[in-house]
Amino acid sequence: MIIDCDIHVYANPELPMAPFIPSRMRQAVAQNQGSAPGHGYANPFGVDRRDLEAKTPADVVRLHLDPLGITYGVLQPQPGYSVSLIHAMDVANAMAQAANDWQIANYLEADPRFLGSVCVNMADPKAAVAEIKRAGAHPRMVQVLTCGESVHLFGHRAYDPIYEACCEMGLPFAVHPGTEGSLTSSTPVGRPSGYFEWHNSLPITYQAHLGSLVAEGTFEKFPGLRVVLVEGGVSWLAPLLWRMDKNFKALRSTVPWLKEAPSEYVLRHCRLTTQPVEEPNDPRHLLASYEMIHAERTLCFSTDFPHWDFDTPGRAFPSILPEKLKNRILYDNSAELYGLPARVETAEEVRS
Amino acid sequence: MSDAKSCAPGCDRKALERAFDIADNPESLAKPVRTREIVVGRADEIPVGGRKIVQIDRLSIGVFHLADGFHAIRNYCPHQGAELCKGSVHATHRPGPTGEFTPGLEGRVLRCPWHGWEFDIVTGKGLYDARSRVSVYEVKTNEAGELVVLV
Repeated sequence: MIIDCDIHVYANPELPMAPFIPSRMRQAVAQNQGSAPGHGYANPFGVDRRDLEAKTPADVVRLHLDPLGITYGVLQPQPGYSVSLIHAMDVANAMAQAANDWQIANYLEADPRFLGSVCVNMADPKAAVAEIKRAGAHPRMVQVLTCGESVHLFGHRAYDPIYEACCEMGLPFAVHPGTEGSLTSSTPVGRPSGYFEWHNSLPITYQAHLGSLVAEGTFEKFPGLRVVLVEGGVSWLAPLLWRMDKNFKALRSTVPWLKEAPSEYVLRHCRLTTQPVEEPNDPRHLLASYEMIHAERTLCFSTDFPHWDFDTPGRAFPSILPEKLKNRILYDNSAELYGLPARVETAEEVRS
Repeated sequence: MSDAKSCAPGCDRKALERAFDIADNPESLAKPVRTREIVVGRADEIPVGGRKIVQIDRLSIGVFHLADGFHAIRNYCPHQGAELCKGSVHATHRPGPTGEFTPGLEGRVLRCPWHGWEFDIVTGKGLYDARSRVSVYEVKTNEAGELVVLV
């Protein structure tokens, strides 16, 4: 059994989002008041796989869920996950609402395997809270979603009402990369010159957000909050945990609200998705990095379908990955995170 | 990653240069002895720039009509097994000094449709490490104007 935590679905002429924009806002959106700033880093060879085109829920089922044996797939709608970057607050809020209703009407209604993400405008926490309570009430909306680019680091108290709403609704807070550099530079020290360099730098954003969530005491304030770091890499986590835990011994008095080692908060509250699985030349190194971050409870499988750097469940991991751990990653961790049914043992092999 | 033996122990400078050296001198590549001749279609059915994917028993092969003639390469990416021959064909940039872009291997670089890895259609070499390779097959045109692949 497999849960895929990262399936991209796009609004397109066949599946337009416009009808889901509140009618009073359609003109404002059409007048392009809603365009989010670009980050300027496009994959020169296209961001999607070139061997298929998925425009509709039926396409995603036929090309992805069925052939790969995906039990559940969590959607990351586009537009939607990056509405927080739209400068016009009313337009951003309308786009968030549209993205959520669009998912429900088109995908969640089409197949019970699809699970939705409540897109929110982080820049307007009050509206975000209302949207979490509205769209998050749908039983198959399983998380709140925004993008890695942000006005503030995610530990900033401005976002506390959003986390409070996440806890109230029982929804994890998920972050997806892909927009870094839209508001400010995607690195703290200057702008990368191309897609290769930009893509390589994405984990920097996650490290900054994670450090902020820990240091600001967000997990002390919201003991029920769970954070999902989607598509941001994995192997960087262990050294960050070590660094935080070491510094904690000397600098705890500067963050006196922290009651335990930073790594304890992260391992308890945070989950990472696997794709793109790092590919060290010696696969044992990947296993070591998984061991260091307790992958048996922190790692959740994802494909990033249909993007160019996607992973397939049968081929993404080295063959030396123990079966038990693989099953935790492919299904159990995500099932526990999203409150999905526990694994049913099957003889079926993982298909590639 | 399927243990990525195809790329191990790493894309080093020599292996990269070698991929391009071989691309420039495909004749230097030792050719495996293949004697089984399979007719896969007519030469005039694949225009220059075109391709045809053919199945020979369990083997899927892409026959490409490049500017210098026909070439055949296995339809299987050594990375994760994608149908390589469904990828786009284009040019690449040769390795060179900082800040210099030297277009090269025009019309003979195959980019895997899954993760975008680049291969030389003529030699089958990965254009990041010569040790990563895809099998290539000799293609002949017989007197009847048919394409014959040696497998």
